[in-house]
Formats: sequence, structure tokens, C-alpha cells
Amino acid sequence: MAALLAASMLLAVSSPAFAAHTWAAPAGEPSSSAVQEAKALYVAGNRAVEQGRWSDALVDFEKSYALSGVPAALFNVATALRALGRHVESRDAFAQLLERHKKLDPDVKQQAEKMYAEEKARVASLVVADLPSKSADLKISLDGKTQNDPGERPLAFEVDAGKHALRVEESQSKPFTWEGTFGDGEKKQVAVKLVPEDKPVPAPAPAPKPEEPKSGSVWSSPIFWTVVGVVVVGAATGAYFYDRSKQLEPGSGTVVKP
Amino acid sequence: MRPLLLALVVAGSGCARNAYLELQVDLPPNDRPDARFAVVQVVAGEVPFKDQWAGGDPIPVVKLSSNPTPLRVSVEGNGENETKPILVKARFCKDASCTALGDDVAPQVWLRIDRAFYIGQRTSFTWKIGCVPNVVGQTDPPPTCDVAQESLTTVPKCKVAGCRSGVTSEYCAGGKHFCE
Repeated sequence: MAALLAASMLLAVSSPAFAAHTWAAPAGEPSSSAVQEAKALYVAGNRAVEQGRWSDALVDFEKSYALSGVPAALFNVATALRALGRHVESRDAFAQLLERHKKLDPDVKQQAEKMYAEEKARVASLVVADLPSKSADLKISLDGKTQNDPGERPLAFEVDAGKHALRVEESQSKPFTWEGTFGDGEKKQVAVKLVPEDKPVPAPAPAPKPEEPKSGSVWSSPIFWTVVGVVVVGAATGAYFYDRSKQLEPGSGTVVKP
Repeated sequence: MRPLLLALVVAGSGCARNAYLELQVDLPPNDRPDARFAVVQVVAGEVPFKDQWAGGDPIPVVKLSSNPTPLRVSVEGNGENETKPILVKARFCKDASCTALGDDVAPQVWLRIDRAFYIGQRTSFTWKIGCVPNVVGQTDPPPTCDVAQESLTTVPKCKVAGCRSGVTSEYCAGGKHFCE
């Protein structure tokens, strides 16, 4: 079981499509002032938990761990993330705890292993298929954030339960967008279809040459065609401005088209 | 002569195809120790408020100050959205991009205007948000705001001003808006 856990943790950490989250700890022995500050933050975090302020608690525990490197603070980081529904990060925090703090209290270790397995099972997965090959031209965004493309196909992203939006862009193609809602541990596959942008309509073939007008006809007079051209352009311009003047103009500098 | 005729026909048919709702959002003062940013979004149609609204024209994010701040937006209507409800969401985030820690549960309030547009007409409405709602589980000052988190204000069409001069509480006669 322990070997299996270690192997799966290694897999999660080394998977290129989604870098595992890590939490910094001091390299050496922390100073006594840092330890004091870390303790105060740890206590503040626990108080925040009692009041249901999980987001605040998370900030306190993260700072506490960064200052002290104490495993209890990292354990609480993981549980706060779990309470906030951020299961991907929670799993990574438990993984870091188990990997870097080998001398955990047996009870804590057992609890961390159990929670790690639970969080791992709750991580959902979005598999993006039919992507073009990796190129500088290809842009993949998940929930508005540009994602690193390691070149793997199909490309998989780990996500938390909830609504997510995917967007794939490539020049010469219309952007592909997809939205979906995931449950805990759910896996969804999306096939990307990039449709080429509408190409400009080619110029029509030249019209067959009209019959040569008889010499002296008004149709052959350059003056006549100049006059017609001026009248048409003038009328079209007038029509444009007339039409525009009929449209309402916004009353403020910020315009929204919902 | 055909192009000339076409141009004249186009000119003759020119009439307004759009409408504007001049929306003013009276943003509340910030009574919290940390900065708060008002992120306002507008959509047309039946979209759940709980959903994350993506896309749309950006509206400038406003950093709340110690005084109420008006935000003026011209919402453009057309033949497609003329009769659709207009939904407005105002979130009060710690970060201007609404991505700070805790912004996923940022205080927010909602507005629904049953009908805002009449083609060729200009309408207006002012939404007053008295205070930033308190959210359970956040580091808020003692809850003094009487605006409930995720509270929805519904505006019937007759409360949307337009097509009538003077100040009045109703803009309908016999159930029909003056702009109709």
C-alpha cells in the first residue's frame, strides 16, 4: 500500500500537463523569532477555522509553514484546502507532507494517508483530445488562464469539481470554446474542433466583354461614367451618414453590448 | 443607374435599430480595512446568477472609496435582446481581477430588469447598493450591512425610466410602457 501510494504520488508530481503545487519551507533551522511568529499564525489559523473562516485560516497556515517548516502547519494547509473544495491542491499538500516529513506521528501519518487517498479520488479530469501538435501558434486556456502545453496528446488537466471553461486558439482558425460542470472525481473528454476562419471571397471572374458600343453613343463617353460614379459615391456616402444619424449614441463612455 | 437606386433605397429606409439603457450603479462605500473592488457584469437573457459569467464587454473595475461611487454604463440593446431581461451582477472582490484568496466567495448582489430596451428609445435606471454585504466565513467587520449576500433586486419594466419627462415612480400607463 505504501509503495503504491508513493508511486501514485510520484506520478502526480511528475505529470507534465499540470505541475504539482508545492509549499515552501525554510531551508535550515528557523530562527526563534520566526518560530514565535509561526506559532502565532498557527493559533490564529485555528481560531479562524473555529469561526468557519477557512480562506483566512489557509493564509495563516501557509505563512506558518513557510516560516517554520512544521508538518502540523502543512497538515492544516491541506485540510483547509480540502474544506474549501480545492482538492487538487489539497492532494498535493498531503503528498508533500507524506513525502517530505517522514517522521510524522503514526496517527497523523495514517490520517494524512487516508485524506490523501480521498482527495486524490475527488480530483476531476478534463481530457482534451484532437488538439493540433504543439506549436507557438497554439494557445490553450482553462478558466481564463493560459496553460502550459507539454505536447502530450491527448492533453489532460486536473480540475476541482465545479464549472470550467476551455478555450483553444490557433491563428487561421476560429477559437474553440467549451464549458462543462464536473462532479468529484469525474472525468470528461472534449474533442477539439478547430474550424478555419472564413476565407475572403475570391474576386468574381471578369464579366464577358460587352458588345462594343457604336461610336458616338453616350455609353462610351468617359464624362458620362465619371458623372455616374460621382453621383453613386455621393449617394452612398449620404446614405451611410443618414443611417448613422438615425442610430442612438451612448450616453456614457462605457458601452456594453450584452 | 441601379447602384444609385439602391443607395437611395438604403438611405430612405434608415431608422434606429438600437436602444440604450443608461444604467447607473451607485456603488457603496468601503467600510472594510482592506481594499475592495467592484466588478460589475451585464448579460441579457436567462442566465443563472450563480454561474460564472464569461465574455462580454468589459466594464471598468471600480476601487471602492470611503464615499459612494457612481458607475455609469450605457447598455446597448438591439432587435435580438430587446425583450430579454437584463441581468447585472456586482461583486466586491479583494483584487481587481477577482482572483485573490477568498474572492471565489466574494460578496455579491444581483439585479434583474424585466425589460430595459425599446428600439430607438433611451431608457435609464439607477441601482443603489447601500453597503457591501457580509459573507459568512470571511473576515468582515461586525455585520452592519442590511443588504443580504446574493440578494436579488427585480425591476419591473414600469420602473425603468424613459419616454416620459419629469420624475415619476411609474413609466407605464395601463400596463404599457411609455416607450412601447
